[in-house]
Amino acid sequence: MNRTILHVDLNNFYASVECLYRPEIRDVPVVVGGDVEARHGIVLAKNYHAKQLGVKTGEAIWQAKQKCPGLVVVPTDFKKYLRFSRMAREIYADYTDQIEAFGIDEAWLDVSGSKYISGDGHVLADTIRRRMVNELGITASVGVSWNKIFAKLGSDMKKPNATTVINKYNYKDLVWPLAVGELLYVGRSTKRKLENRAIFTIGDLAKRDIKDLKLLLGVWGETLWQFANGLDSAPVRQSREESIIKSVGNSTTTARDLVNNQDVKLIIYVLAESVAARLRQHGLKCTTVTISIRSNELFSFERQSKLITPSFISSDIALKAMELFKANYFWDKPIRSLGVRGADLVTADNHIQLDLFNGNQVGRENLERAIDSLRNRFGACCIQRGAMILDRRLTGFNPKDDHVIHPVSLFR
Amino acid sequence: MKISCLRTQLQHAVQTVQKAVASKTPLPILTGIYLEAKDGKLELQATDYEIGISCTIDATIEQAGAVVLSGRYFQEMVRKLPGEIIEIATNKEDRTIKINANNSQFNLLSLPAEEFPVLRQINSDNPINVKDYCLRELIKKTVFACANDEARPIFTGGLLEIDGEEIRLVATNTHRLALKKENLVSGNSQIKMIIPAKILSELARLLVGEEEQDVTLSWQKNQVGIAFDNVYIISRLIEGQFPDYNKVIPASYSTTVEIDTNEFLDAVERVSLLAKDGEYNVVKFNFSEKEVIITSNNPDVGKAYETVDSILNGTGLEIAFNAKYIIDILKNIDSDKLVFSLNTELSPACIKPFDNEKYIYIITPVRTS
Repeated sequence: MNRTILHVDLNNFYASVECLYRPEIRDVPVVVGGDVEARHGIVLAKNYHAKQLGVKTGEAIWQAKQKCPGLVVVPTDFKKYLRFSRMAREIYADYTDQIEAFGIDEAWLDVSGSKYISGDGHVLADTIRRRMVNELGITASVGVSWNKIFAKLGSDMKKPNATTVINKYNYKDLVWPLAVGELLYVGRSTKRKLENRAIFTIGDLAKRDIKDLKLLLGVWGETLWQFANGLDSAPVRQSREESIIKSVGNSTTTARDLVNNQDVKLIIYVLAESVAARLRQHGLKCTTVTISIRSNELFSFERQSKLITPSFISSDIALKAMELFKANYFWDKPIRSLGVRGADLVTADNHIQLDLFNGNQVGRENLERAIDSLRNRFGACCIQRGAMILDRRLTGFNPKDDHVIHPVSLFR
Repeated sequence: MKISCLRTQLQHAVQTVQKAVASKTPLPILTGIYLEAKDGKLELQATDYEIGISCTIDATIEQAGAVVLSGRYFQEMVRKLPGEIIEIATNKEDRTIKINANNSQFNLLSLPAEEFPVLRQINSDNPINVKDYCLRELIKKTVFACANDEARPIFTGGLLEIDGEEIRLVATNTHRLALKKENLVSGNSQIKMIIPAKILSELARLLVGEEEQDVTLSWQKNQVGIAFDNVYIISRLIEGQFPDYNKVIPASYSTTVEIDTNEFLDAVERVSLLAKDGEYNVVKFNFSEKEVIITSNNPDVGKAYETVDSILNGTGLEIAFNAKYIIDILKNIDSDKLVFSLNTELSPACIKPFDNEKYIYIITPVRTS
């Protein structure tokens, strides 16, 4: 069956939402940025005035200010964005139940079934765009195609507030001239590999022999070839489908560079407490602990190791993370950001083989649960480890509540 | 080198050293068996740097010398050779070793003998003598309890303790612990060493001589040398601090149960058939006045229920264990009756032979959801 799939991309989402709340800054260059003090100072989103002056997402705020004096920097407020994201979703829900969110500001809609009620893809896309402007006050770009990959490429073609239809007659003209790096899942290193084989555009990729691509990229070669030829058949998932949690992790860019094991220990404990609390919240335990380290020169790597028994106890996770860190980092560079993740999850109410030498495991689990309940009633700071006071600036963040996570993956 | 020896003796020697032949190693020489002929003896050696085994047999020596042969091919070949007498001779021209037995003849390529790390026997001031059956018993009753995973290396070995006239071997994977004690004929040494489980098992396999003999243990830093009969084994020791196992053996119990060992073993084995649930093998035991009720329940498969007569002293209780840990110990209890001692459903329990205080097994329960 021929599907009709829309990809809706809300234009400059964070910046647009902020401008709605503060109409006076609507006509000046605006960026939404992280907290400069806490060194999260990069441009997360910008409005069109800032864009025209050459501000790019991901660059440092001081760079953006150099490009455009008088730039208004607005701090992030994820609650607002989530609210608008939800409202946009309500509009989509008027036309289909197959809505797959891709981050906070993008979504795929399978509207194949609504053709006779709401009109064909193009008409429906225009309707949705009009409702976005009228009801939410934000603009959207919509790509219309028969598969998710092309729909997404379509929404990137014309911005803002535009519909692009990619059908079987025009895709060779519209999609194939695009640089191969535009294709979903062609990142830096895949792009390099492809370019080494003289594959520069999506068309080059589509016309290549699938066998060559398999040799070059393995299974991915086949998948990317299908993407390029519009043969992707991945369904748009039902809106109520929840993906299974595969791992629970937190990471942070620290307020200052970490220079010794003591600093790292503080951060690892803050992160491990959050990971452990979230594991408990979901009734899970992790078997594997992974740490990710990024030095101040932005070189990053990950290391992982197994726990002796599955655990949701923060000190178990922190000790393993610290052990991994000590075995793998030799302080040739200060550290800029750290992450701790628990993976290989099992349900927490499983049988537990007690340990002869591990002290009172049941007691330690109960202690952690007691801390959870204290924090729920009196706030996250009501009870903390003594070490946290050693450096308030470093440890004064709450990864569990501060961060909003948008799991993004095309494949589940 | 040019020698001849008895086929049966050579077979025995090759089988003895073969466990030490390295299979995966970046050093090709370690995949070989070293043969050295001198003074009317032929010595075979193999090592993978974890364990080294040497075995010496009688031989008629025409010309002394040393060679290294591919462990794998030499071993397979010796097993199949015909006749009574085997002749081994080096051929200088093409660096091969000629092996003759009856009408069959092999020419095996040799490895460079000068590269082989020849075992050096450990000279310690006060070696200890243990009877072979006693050491074998110590190992067989405990080594199964060692940990398999390398996450905590210390538990992949058994702790050998010699304390005056008592020798003890302790093995644990932190979920169960086996402790076996034996008396030494004489001795006033104090030793503690952790010997890798692999080496213990190998030793128990080799200690099967028909006649009673002494095994001599000598140690030095992180190595132990074990000598008996015509065999010499040298092994690395596991370094680290073995936790205080005495602390985990409960001082007293609120419940003791006497059960027939074989009836209990059979029943547990049957009930555990349905107990596979992930990595756990959970079987529940309900100890009551006159019987133990053994049950398992696997929602995907079914249920099992069996009772075994028992004599209970103290309060009854229900407790869950990993069936594998129970079966392992029951198979090693030689006496007809056992004593199962317990406290609560979340504290470690103890299994002992009824009439033998020298064998103790501690097992932690499974906390069920």
